[in-house]
Amino acid sequence: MDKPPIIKTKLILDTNIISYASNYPVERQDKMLKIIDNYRAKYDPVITDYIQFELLKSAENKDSELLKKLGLFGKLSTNEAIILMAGVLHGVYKKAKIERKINDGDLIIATTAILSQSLLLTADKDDYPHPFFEEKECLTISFKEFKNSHTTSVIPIYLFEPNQTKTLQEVDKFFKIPTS
Amino acid sequence: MSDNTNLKTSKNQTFINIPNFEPIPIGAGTVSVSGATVSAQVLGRELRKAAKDNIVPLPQETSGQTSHN
Repeated sequence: MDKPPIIKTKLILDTNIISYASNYPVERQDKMLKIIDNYRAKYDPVITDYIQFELLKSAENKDSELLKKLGLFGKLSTNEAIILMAGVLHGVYKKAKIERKINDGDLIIATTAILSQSLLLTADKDDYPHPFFEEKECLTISFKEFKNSHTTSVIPIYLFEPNQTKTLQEVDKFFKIPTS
Repeated sequence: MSDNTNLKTSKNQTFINIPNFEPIPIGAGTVSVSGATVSAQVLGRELRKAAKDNIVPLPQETSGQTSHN
């Protein structure tokens, strides 16, 4: 009898992670690919259709080739519930006095992670604020921009877990609906 | 828990209730997964090719990058 497939937790790779994994310098690219590969043992790396949109929007040419590359990843689909909840999350962040500008795309990606119970890998911690997202791990990638460069650049890579309970509580408070 | 609460659990399914909208389910069924993930070797090879052909846009500025001499 066939063993049932092991369902792993989804790991959403943010737009910047796909960019780092697909661009020079080689040292940064290799280290990013290694991180993704290591996480594959525990998680199922995916992108969302919104991440696909962001990458296509920024691409200058060769869109069909880009689509082919993006087809290598499993994909989570954005739906009406995610768009609705992303709008609500904006108000919830504001009420929690998270003042920094978080753009619509990051709200949609954040909501996709919350609703799909996925983890999120990103290089930009400001887009996924505490306490709605908890930092599970932080890795760093150090690399030289050019072969003979005298400086070493360092990028932090964060593994975030959505704090679903906290988010639900804050949505409750946002609409002032009693919980008991 | 009252009937008014936003957080409802039914048969291990949790919903977010936004007034005047259908409850939003948390977890399976909220989003669909499509496309097959490929092996790490294929993914690595294809993304290295992408860098060579310069087809994936560079990341926008992120909050954490630093440089050291």
